[in-house]
Amino acid sequence: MNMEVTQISVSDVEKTAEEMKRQGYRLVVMTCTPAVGGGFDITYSFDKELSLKHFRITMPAESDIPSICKSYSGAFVYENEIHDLYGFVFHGMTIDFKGTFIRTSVPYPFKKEIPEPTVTKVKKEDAA
Amino acid sequence: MSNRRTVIPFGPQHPVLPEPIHLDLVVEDEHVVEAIPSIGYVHRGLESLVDRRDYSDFVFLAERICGICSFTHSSTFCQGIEGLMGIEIPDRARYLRTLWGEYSRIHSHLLWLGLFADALGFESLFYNAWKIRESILNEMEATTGGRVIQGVCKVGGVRRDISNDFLSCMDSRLDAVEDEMQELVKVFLNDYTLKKRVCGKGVLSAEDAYALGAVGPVARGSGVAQDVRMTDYLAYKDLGFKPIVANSCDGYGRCEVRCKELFQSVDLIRRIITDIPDGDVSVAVKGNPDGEYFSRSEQPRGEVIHYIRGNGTKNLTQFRVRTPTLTNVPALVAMLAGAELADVPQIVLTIDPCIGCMER
Repeated sequence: MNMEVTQISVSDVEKTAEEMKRQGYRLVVMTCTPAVGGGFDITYSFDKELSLKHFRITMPAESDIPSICKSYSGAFVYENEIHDLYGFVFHGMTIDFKGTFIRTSVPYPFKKEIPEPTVTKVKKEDAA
Repeated sequence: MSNRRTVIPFGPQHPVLPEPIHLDLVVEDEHVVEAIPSIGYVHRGLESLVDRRDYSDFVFLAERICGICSFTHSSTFCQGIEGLMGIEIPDRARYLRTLWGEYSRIHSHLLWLGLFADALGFESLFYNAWKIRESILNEMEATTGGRVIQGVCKVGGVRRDISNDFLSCMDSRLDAVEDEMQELVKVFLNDYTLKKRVCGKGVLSAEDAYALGAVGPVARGSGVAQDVRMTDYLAYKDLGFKPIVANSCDGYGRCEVRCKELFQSVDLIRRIITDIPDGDVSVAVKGNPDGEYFSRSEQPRGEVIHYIRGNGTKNLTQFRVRTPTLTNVPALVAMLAGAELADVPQIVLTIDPCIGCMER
């Protein structure tokens, strides 16, 4: 399976999607994850004849990102989901739910960049 | 005839929906002009638990993403970790994972056929579909210990072996299951009333299916020969897999694909039983995953993606899942545009929506 990810700039997102569409690729998924060096990675994965291609942008939290709905109208599900869970704003979506696609009790629940420590630290003196 | 548009809410509670999804149906004279979906009623945030569990324990959580394709979620997750760590699982484990994956597909398709019959008011057909499904669940229970959640996959292989004698018994029991399924499928594909409810309803052209990213029986029912089993994961390469497609591009096509896939899965299971090599079912796993991996498999509903990222510790740092139902939502929206209001419930059902799976 191809794990090569091509880093692109946010200004190239629409152009890359157009090119993928022209070449006959299908949009597989848009994946948002906290980036290693801060900010967030949004990875666009495309498939043609069962071969995957990945493109990635790295963005600071709450950035504005152009939608790829012009090329892939079905991208609205991923873009709305990323908006609702992470807080990114996509411009030009075919259906913009304005934060109501996934209704969460906490706004943007996945926005935290670094996972909080989950192991309870016990002081030496307490452990003794 | 008036041109006044009305918005009719469909769901989240609806007799045909076992799980909650909401659609705002914009209708004009009994025809749907636009359908606007919204989800979030059963969002559990399972993916965010990944940094709090050992990666080998997370297999059990991954399996609980869905109650129907649970086995495929666990095997896809293990496959991702194994890809990341460069682990080659034994051939017998590959075959066993394929076998259980195909049993899961039969049980999922029979479940859908039953629910679909129930939604159309055909109760006896529903009972028959689920009666056959019980035989499949019994095999799952006998070989894994669990009917719905199997807990048999682990990083490095599988937890349980099936003896060759028991595999032969499973093979002979498949004959009766296949005969019963033949009778069932005859009704689904030939009954006048059923055909009236699905033929020409929920039309999705091959071009739209591909452009909207449809997967699984939704894509294949529109003539798009797309199936992850065509790649070389698990034992499918050895088994020489070819996808089943239907060209009617409507609800009937999607139903036809699922019906025919029942028999395809039976054939695959028989070949697995014949060809399964002897040997170990797992390898020892040392170290922790470091790097990122996109793992994908073909669930009963279509392609599933698990994105996994590790940093060399026992806890993964990221885990994201894209399930087939989420990617079939744009196709559903396209199918509903122009449909008659009375046809909406069965059109929604033809994508075999699994909402718990979609929301994780």
